[in-house]
Amino acid sequence: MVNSSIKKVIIFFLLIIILLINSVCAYYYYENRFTIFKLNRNIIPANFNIFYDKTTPTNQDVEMKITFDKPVSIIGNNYGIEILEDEKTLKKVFSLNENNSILVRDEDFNYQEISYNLDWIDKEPPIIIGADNKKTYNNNVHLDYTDNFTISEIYSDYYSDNFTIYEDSQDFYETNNMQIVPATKDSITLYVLSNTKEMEKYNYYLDGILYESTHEKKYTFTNLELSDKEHNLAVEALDREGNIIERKEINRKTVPIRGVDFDFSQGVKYIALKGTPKTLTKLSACAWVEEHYEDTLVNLTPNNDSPNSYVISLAMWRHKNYIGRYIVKFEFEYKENNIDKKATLIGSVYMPNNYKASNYLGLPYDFIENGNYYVRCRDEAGNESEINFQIDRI
Amino acid sequence: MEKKFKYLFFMFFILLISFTNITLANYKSIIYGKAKTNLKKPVFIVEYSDIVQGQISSKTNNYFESYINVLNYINKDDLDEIKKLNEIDFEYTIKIIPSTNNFPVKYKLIDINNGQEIALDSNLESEKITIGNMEEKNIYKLILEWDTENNNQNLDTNLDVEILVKGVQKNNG
Repeated sequence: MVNSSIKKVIIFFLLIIILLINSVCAYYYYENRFTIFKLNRNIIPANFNIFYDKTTPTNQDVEMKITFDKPVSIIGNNYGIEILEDEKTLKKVFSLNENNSILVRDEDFNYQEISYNLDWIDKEPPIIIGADNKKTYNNNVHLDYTDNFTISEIYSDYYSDNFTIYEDSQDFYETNNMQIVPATKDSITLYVLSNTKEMEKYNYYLDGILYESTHEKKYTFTNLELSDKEHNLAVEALDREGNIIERKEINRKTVPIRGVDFDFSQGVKYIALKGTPKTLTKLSACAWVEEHYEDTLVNLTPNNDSPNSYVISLAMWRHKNYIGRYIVKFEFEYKENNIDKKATLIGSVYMPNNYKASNYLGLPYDFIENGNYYVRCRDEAGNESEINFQIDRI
Repeated sequence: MEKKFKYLFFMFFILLISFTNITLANYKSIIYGKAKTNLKKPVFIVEYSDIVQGQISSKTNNYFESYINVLNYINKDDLDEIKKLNEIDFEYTIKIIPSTNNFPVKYKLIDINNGQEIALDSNLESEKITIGNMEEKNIYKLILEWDTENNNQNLDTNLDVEILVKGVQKNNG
């Protein structure tokens, strides 16, 4: 009986405990879920353009610029390409050809691979095959040329001497006491033709007085006294250390010019008659080389582009195997105050480079005559090689 | 023997009830008419601003923010009634739920009240934060910032971010 009561009490307490426990086992639980951001990003990759400052074969450095329409960065290897301040331009200056790809990421993290292939830098000079520089041969010389780019020009000259000076002007003499134009010449321009790189500098002398020391192969003596007196013109060629390698002299006069100008450009001879009388009725010319007088009539073609100007074909001037002074004579017939008059101008011009000066465009060429030769070979990137050699065959 | 079995069965039943205490107490939050109750009143309110929308980028517009408030009272102004104050301690967590993890943003949750950044676990969920029965308004700023260190080359285009605030009554409440 007692046990039964105890059991009931225990059960009662158990029920109370359970109720108490239950009273704290009920939880409040809140859950709030909501959207707070809706974002997107631009997935259109940056547009770009690649520019090069030189696009044809060159022996210079080439600058590449890649421009974008939004800021970018380079991911991974940048191959030396820098990003300019605007972050929209990539730049690199190439001294050698390069073929690479870079991975570019724009500001929206779109990635794109950009490839570039620069293959038009050439800093290697062409190779002249068949002769060595400064060597003398006793038989024909057959030259050929090779380069990793196209050979664009081969120039060869023959000289009796490796160092020549000349006055590239026209000293005409009036022979009939006629004066077409009262012009005067008070300057002499002296040119140097040298075919060796050893010559670095030139001293220009007039009557023994040093006028100029320069790297230029041309010098004009100005404000000269007008007289028949001959001036002594001299040029000294100096090497890098300032040592005199060679000296050449010529004598020239300051003489009145009688109205004829020569323009020796582009292998065509233009003769401009300044102040030609309005009633010029006849103009003829003949030319011969200094040492071989042959009074050959030269056809004069009026130059339509320039009044009082005539063209003389270069071919008429060329005498093979001769480099030197050509004599030219012009005869005028005109009316002055209804009186027929005649005038003759005679003068000379030096033709230093009209022998074997040609483009052979990569073709081998045989040199067969005795003499000194200068050969220059240029590729389309502008690199040059040159040699001097001599053929001395008894 | 049979009594003993009944007794054991009864005890087991009572224990079973004690462990399955889920249905024995019910709260109803709305009381019509006048009634008196000794039950403590919970107030757990989450406020948030309108959805922030836009195009994010690493250079321009690389930063977006929005605010979340957790408070334990109801303003008079809000409901035009007497201010209600929470009477139960709550623990709550704030969880950021992005629609994709393949979008280059970093998340920062700032407790505006103390200026401290709240640590988020790998699931972008905060630790438990307690809010008691004293008037309290916890203001949080959620910042989305472009993640410049993200090197994934196949990113998603869109990102929706949800916030989950879970509040649970503390045991001693």
